[in-house]
Amino acid sequence: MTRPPEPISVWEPREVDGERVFVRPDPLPLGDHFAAVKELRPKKAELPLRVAFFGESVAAGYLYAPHLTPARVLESQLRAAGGETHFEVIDLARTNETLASLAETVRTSLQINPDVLAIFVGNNWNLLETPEVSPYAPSVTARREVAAALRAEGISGPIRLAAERLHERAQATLEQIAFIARTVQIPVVLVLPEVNLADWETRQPPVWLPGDGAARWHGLYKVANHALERRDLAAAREAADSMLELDGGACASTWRILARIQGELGNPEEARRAALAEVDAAGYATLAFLGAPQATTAAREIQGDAARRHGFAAVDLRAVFREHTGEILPGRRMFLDYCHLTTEGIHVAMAAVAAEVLNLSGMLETDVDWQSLLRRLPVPVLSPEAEATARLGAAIHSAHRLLTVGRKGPILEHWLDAALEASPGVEAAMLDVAEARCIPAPAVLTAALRRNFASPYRLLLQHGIRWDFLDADLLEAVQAVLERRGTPARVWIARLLLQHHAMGEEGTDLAEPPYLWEPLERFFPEVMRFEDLAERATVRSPWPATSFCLICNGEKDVRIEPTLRLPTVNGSRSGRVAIEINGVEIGGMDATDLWSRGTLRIGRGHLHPGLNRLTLHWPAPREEGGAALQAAIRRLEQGLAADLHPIFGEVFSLIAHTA
Amino acid sequence: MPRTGRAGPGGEAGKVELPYNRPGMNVLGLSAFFHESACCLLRDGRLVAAAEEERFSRVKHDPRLPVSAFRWCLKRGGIGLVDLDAVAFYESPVAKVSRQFWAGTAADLLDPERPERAIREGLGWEGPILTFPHHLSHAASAFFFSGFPAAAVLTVDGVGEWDTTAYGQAGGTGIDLFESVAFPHSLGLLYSTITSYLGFAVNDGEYKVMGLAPYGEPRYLKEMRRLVASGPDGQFRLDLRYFDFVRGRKMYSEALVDLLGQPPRSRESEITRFHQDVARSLQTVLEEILIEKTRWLHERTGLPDLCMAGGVALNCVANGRILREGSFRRLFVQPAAGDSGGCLGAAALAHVHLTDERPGEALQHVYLGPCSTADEVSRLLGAAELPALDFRYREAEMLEVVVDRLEARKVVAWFHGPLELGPRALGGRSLLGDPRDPEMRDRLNRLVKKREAFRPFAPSVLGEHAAAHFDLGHPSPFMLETCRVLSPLDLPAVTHVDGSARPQTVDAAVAPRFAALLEAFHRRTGCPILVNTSFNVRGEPIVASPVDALLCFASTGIDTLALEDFVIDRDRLPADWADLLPAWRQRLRSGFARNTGEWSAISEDLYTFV
Repeated sequence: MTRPPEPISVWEPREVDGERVFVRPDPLPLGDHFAAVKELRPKKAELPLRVAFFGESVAAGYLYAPHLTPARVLESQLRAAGGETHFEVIDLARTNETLASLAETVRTSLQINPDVLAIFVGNNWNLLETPEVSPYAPSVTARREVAAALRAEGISGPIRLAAERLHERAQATLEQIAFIARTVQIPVVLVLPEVNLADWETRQPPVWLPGDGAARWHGLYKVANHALERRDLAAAREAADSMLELDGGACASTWRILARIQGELGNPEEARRAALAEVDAAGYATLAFLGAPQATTAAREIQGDAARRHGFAAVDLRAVFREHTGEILPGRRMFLDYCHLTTEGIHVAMAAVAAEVLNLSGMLETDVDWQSLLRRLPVPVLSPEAEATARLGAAIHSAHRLLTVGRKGPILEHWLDAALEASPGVEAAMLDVAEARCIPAPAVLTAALRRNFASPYRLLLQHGIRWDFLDADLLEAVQAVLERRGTPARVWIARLLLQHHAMGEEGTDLAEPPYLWEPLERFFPEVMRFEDLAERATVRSPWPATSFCLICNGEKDVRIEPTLRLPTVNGSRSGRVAIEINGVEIGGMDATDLWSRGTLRIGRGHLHPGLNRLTLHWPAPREEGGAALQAAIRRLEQGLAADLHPIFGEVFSLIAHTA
Repeated sequence: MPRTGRAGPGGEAGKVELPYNRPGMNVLGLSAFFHESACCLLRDGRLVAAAEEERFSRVKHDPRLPVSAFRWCLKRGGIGLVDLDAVAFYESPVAKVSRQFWAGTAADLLDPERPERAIREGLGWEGPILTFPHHLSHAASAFFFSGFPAAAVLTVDGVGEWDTTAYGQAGGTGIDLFESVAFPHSLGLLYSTITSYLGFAVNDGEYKVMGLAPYGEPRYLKEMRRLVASGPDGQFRLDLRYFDFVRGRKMYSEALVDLLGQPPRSRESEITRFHQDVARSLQTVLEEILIEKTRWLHERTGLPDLCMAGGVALNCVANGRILREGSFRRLFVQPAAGDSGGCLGAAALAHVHLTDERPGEALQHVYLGPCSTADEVSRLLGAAELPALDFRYREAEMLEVVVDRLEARKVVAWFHGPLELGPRALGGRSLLGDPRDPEMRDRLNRLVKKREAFRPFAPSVLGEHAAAHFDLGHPSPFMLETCRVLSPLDLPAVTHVDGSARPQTVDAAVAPRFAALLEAFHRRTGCPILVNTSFNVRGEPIVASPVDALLCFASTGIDTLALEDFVIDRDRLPADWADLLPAWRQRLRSGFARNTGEWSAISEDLYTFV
């Protein structure tokens, strides 16, 4: 009995003129996660040899698609090296791929008779695969399980639990793929990802640490950063070593500081080890903060083991990139962001895959190595406009996703400059983005977006067209870069901001989402309003400082009226909250664990026309961290979500008036 | 009353100013965690703000802690968190959990501390939390805002804590609920059960059953009377053999299917004569019981006026009959009679508790939600570069232009002033049309509402002309009762199959611009009536902000948008919006579904967040 046809990913089976075809819905005008290939058809002839290409957003060409995708690059490389009519690549990669859907797509792809399976995954093997190992999971059972792991082993308990689960799930998926491949006797090529170690930083605070460890850690963090700023590497090293001692290596940011120190000291191998430890320590197991998809050591090892056990061909991009670039810490040359590849990155990575496929195909008289193949291959053709759009996308994406231990501006400005270098006309797109962000409405309603859509620099959803935050870092980077090139962007952006965000009679509440300077500094489940968690009407800060966007014309004093408190797990707490505008402390307010409201006048001399950064510096929590963590465990045991991190301060409202 | 938050010091640059407090009693009412959560603010007993969370979150019937509504109520009231005196919650969590425990809900899911914890942790509230029984909150929401010095009170819904129906009398600051009907015997759940059997969603499709009923004949009265039997005084009982909602996973049992003789209707399938007859029979039995019970209540209290709330009080057909055929002289139904309006009652009860004074005043309108200034709208339209007609300071001209569109049989989306509280759009966020147009109902459905063709649309009529067109001897500002259409005009768009309508009478003193529009339409056409349905598409809450309005307008087939002082015609919209906006809305909707449903799909949000 023949099985009825099944969808392959989003491609639905259809009968067209008596022939089975798989047809995908039209791509949404704002873009979607799948290859822009309308139809897939079963293979009819021996040649071309068909490579089915699977993977996550890296494999889908995130930020370049649909102009350039790894699958299309691979196809053109195979044809260039193995014959124009001898190869084709079917692009089944998708952004947000998970293990379960990967296995299903591989299985159903057999309906179109692939000859080779090429699989490029591992960056997403994080919270997407083990969301239940989290103190915020919407399940009493899951929370109790996290509590048990915490009680038994501290923070390493849930991390171990998540790692074990991931190992089981990934291994099972790779077993399934091996079984499928064996059954139809086709080879598998696994691509082991490399990640951006030089330019991508992960800023996450540690969980409660015993005694006053959390307060000490944050104090040391500040010392280390200041020392790095003034290149006092010995002081930075001393502080970082103490941080490591306190957090036991479980906090990604300590590793980043160590990586930066080693980099400054000229020890790239040491820096690399620290950066890898940073990736491995990113706190997915707590799901408290958004990290970036980056393949961990475990993810790469699971794939390496599977390749050995099942006889898969393996392309290790870590080795490939290192050999290609000579860089010990791969960075912006190969990566647009945490893991998505530049044009060169795609070219090199796919050349390595092409070499494996060519060798497996037996179509060449002798095996080929990727290095010699790469030298022969044409560079992918991409219009300057598409390249500039991808680089602008990298800047926008980094503005949203990158939380740096060091400064964020330089990386954003790098990508904006790079975009302008690729195609100076992209400046119009930058101004359109800036305009759309200044307007308190969905970008899709703005004339700015329409202009952008009619231009050769069309930004799709994945480039960050959202509307609920001002995107202060991006606005600042755009104005800095354009001002350097002679475009008076500062005045223009200030005018737009004042037009749409001027303080009315009621004042502006800076605690409302649009005015949070860095929205992702909060607990991630709060940002996303996850199911089964208490909704929050307040802004809670897991960092010693919280910044807001204050918009004014700079001609008058501004009066601010914060309503804030210093949360505590047990007992009471009090301290002074220092208030800073554009980096200058202008006053403070005494606060306790109960709400207080104060007022403060900011003299116009401290204010710029347009965007101003208002920062609250919180006093450190002085509670006994062990007891605080125990309290969190007790909540989890009751089936309640719990924060494992100290909260420095909480803001209900921060009203700003023109004085 | 001690304030638990502390007003803190402030000062000249760098120095703290003197503390300050605002005088008066500020009570925030809150309903949440079942469906349609909401908040309201009473300042010195006066209702100054109220809104459902769904209008902010854009999740229909959003049951979550109403954080946005909470923040907005304080903002509208011009106060801060530390100025609040109390938060009042609309039901007793312990009593509710005891009923859920009795009904067999898994122990892990029972958490009587959840509301307080959510208010403390989610809203950050440190002060007193006062909780009031569910039906008492409903009763208070009706009585204290009725303007009646004393009244009988009837609350009817699915279930609140243990009770499903409560009877009482109120006067001054006191409400005495002297009789109740206990779960599982529930008129609300009876109605929801048949709603489910007829293929509509529970807690959403009950209106549809009410709208379907006039198409049918009461051929299943005998069967309905087996489902529910009236008892002495205020009592009635369900025959539980026909129901499965107590411990089962659906509303009705197989016995009900056997009794009615046909399988339940699947969602979106054809509606047959049988379904119409079942709806009619249910509606008839509900009306009979309610009339009987209100007569008993009248006898028991001897009071001339009746106040009603609870979800069943939104059954405007039954309300009309209660008033016409019952014993009471006047009826006040609290316009947000469902659970969202429970927050009004809780706040009122808290005010009484704290001050010994009667709160509230006769509710003149429900324009209690967010609004936008013409300048804000102007900036939005400017940012979109929409060629809108600007009528700032020229209202009369604007109304004539809108009437031009209405007279040309166009569908006009009307956005003016504060958003309405409750399920009815009453001229704040409305879709309007010419009621004389025989095509208008289909047109509204085709272009925007996408709802079942059998459902009627309601009319808004100038108050002074109401009696000439409707069998209505009193104002009906909240569209909460039906009556016969008497109009000499042919009004096919608003006249139901049985010759009834559910009018809103519009008073120029309360809704001046909406009344002026009706007057302008009347002057031009001789018809003082407009079709008025809510400004939303199926499955979405009523629009709240100008952005919502623009998105809804641009991604549906609405002909014209009157957005505060601006008028925008469809043919002036950018051509590419036709593709872009539906795609955008689809992305938003799927985002909401994920955030309220599937944990496993959070990956989508990691990317759509950027």
